[in-house]
Amino acid sequence: MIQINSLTKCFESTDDDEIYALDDVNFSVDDGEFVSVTGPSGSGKSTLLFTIGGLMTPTEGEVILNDIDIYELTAAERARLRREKIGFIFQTFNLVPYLDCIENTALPAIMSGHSQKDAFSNAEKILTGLALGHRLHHRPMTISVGERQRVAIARSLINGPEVILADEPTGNLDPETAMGVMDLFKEINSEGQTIIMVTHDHNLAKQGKRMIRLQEGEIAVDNKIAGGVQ
Amino acid sequence: MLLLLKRELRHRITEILLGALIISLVISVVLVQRAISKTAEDEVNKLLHKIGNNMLVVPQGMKMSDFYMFRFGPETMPQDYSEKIRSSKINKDMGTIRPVLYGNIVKNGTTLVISGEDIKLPPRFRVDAGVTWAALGKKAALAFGVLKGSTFQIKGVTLKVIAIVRNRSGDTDSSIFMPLKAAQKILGKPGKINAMYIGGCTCSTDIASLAAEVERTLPGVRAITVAGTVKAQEDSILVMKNYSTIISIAAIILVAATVLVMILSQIKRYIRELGLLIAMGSPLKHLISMFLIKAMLMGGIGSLAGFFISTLITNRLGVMFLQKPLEPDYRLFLPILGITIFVSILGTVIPAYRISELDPANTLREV
Ligand SMILES: Nc1ncnc2c1ncn2[C@@H]1O[C@H](COP(=O)(O)OP(=O)(O)OP(=O)(O)O)[C@@H](O)[C@H]1O
Ligand SMILES: [Mg+2]
Repeated sequence: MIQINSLTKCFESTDDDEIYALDDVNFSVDDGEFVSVTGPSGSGKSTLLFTIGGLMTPTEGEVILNDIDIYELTAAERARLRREKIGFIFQTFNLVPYLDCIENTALPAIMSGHSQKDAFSNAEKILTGLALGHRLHHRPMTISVGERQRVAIARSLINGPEVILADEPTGNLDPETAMGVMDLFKEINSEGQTIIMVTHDHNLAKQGKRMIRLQEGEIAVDNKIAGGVQ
Repeated sequence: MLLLLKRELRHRITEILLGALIISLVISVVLVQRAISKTAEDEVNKLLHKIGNNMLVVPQGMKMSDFYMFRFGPETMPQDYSEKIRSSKINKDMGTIRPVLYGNIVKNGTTLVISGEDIKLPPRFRVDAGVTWAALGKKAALAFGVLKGSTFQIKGVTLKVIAIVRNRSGDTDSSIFMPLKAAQKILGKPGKINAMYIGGCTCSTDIASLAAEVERTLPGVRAITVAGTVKAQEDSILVMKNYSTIISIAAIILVAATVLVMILSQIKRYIRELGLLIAMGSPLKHLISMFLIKAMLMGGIGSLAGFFISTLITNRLGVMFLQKPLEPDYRLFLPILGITIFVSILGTVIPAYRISELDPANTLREV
């Protein structure tokens, strides 16, 4: 279970005034939930995901994952948490440029101490499931943007994380491929993994179990959706 | 993590090699410079050894600048000064002693140099008893209008020309070599000399104190050694050594700056990639050891290549300028290797550590 208490993130802007990207946000996410986060550009969606994922220290408030306040941990402990419990899909992919698709995908598993052989065979399975079986040994620079997005998704899944934090995972995909990704998310969600997904696409957002709408750093709407994923 | 290191090294190979190349060039400069200054030092020491045990003894009032220009004044010293040394306690330190009387005469408007010294002539130049020999430079022969075999007179002294001396240097051109006694007669200085060359001193003490001893034994003389000349050279070597230190320090700064500039030029990408690895939960230990290995590789390859390149350069330079191949000072290898690796580590690990303290999200933002 993830519990967000009074989460506030404030950035100093150049002309001495402050931008509240998140302003006293409170909510909690049960295990196995599928939450869609929507909101206009600049409303704080990425900031929310970063702070939940242990990548950005909040100005105030706490993020509690399985009864542990993750910002009370040391940097090394938090790194371990990210490695083992959280799968993060970045809005800007962030693939390692000198590793090919299968190596990029397998990297978190190798970091966690799995053998290269196991990590690679697992990575190949996931990539093939995402229709990237023919791109295993291509570098990120040599594949399309949509393909990169799917490699980023594959990488977030490799360690079987408890929580998947996805920032616009379908932003660069055609509707058909996007639906494919959604189906994949629904499938892993049905196996118990928690998913928090940022999206601009209302139709996709409605496919989750719950929809949170952010507006200028505050929660404007928090709806359980009837007829979402069971 | 080995995979990551391997891939990154492969990806960055040109960058690392470029860094290594720059480091190696800087090291080459230091080593070449060191090798050259060391050789110069050795050469001077050798020279010192060769000529350091020679001495020139002249009358006290002699103006040395005139002496070297072959202009001789009235100053003289007794001819028996050579025997006086031979019979003194410093004789054991002396090699050859050559008493000479120099003087100038003017013939048909040409100033000539008389050099009176008792030389043991080679057999083919032997003259009959009672005949006074003379060897003339070309200019002197021309002034007197004589050829080899001619007989001529200067101030009532009859001389037989046994040789026209080849013009080996400008100095001998206007010289007339003859026995000491004949020179004394012509120059009107019987029993006098004005120079004494002492060669092959095997002094147990240093040449300077030996010269002082000569001056004490023979009143009214000045003993000149090459020590003074060499002293000047030693000073220039000292200057060179100082330069060498300055260049070494500059080189270290340059190596550090090179690594730093390389890192700064890559810093944005470097931060992003590092931030990404940290974001994905890579243990800091692994990252730091990766950077350590990278830094050591760069420093190591750089130093090795530096020694290789500098060996090539010093060899060529040595052959070009000193007619013999030079070698870099291999004792410098370890210190340079150490410094280079140390600087490389400072330049890579510290930024890596600093970045790891930041929130990973800050490093991941892309514009
Ligand atoms: N590092 C930062 N420094 C200063 N301001 C920042 C920083 N990161 C985010 N912000 C500000 O915080 C606000 C929220 O940013 P955030 O990236 O969370 O928006 P978003 O909802 O993800 O937008 P988008 O849909 O365009 O991705 C923005 O107004 C942005 O200017
Ligand atoms: Mg965003």
